Amino acid sequence: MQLSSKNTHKYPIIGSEESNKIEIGKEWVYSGNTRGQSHDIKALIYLESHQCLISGGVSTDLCIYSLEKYGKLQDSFKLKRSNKKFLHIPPFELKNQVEICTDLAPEDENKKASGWVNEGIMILVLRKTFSIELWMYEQRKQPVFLLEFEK
Amino acid sequence: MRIIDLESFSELKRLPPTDSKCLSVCSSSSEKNTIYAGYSDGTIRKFLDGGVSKRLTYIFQHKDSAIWVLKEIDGFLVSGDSNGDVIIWDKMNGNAVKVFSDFKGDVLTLAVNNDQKTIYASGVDSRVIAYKGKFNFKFDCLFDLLIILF
Repeated sequence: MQLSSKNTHKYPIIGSEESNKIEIGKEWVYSGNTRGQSHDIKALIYLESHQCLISGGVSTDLCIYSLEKYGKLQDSFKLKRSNKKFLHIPPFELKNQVEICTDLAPEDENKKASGWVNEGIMILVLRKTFSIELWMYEQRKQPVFLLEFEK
Repeated sequence: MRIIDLESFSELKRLPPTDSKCLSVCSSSSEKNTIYAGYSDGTIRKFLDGGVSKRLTYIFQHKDSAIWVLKEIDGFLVSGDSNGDVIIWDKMNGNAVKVFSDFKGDVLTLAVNNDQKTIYASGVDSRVIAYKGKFNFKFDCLFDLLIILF
């Protein structure tokens, strides 16, 4: 164990060479805490452009912490209902990627109830990360692209 | 520890092996060709131009800790260890400026915000704790400052 014996003062003298590098009288204080994830956090990144923190770890989902002014963590007591403290991004899509829009299919009550229309036209909804696509599918024919909605 | 050139992927330097494991590495933005490394024996070592120039060790009950993470903020060095402590080091003289013992498990990761001078720490505890740098002028320092200004 070894410690330098050059300078053991907490605050360096003003005007000295060291004072140019270290801010004088700077104290570090506890600012706040929050728990966004249930298990170990192994990576934490501060995103300057969005003023937020992103964490990832054992629970496999990403958690985005929105920060207050001056980089402070959001206080749960002062939080408004409209503001979200965290945003969780799951590792995989929880909703179905493809859905059949039965409302636009031919009006056959029996076939509607079965969930699959053997004959006629079906409208397929394809969910992508940043857009939703609509495709028209007719049996024994190539699917036709109809529309794309961007998020 | 090896230093590798990112353009050619060739090995530039190989630092001498040590008895303990190197767990974290941090390059200094203010000091040229300087690397700080945290080891499994609780020491933080400074490497200057490929050689060991200085060894900073926190002497209080941290013999069995492992330095999981190291970061540099605003002229200070911040470490997170297996005792759950976040320690802010004065790089100039190797003193521990502040020790925070808020975590109940290992501190595995740190993020720093240089603009707002804030440190975010997290780890096994699954909490994210923020520490903030605050100006706290003492009267003797303020008096010295006034002498310099006028």
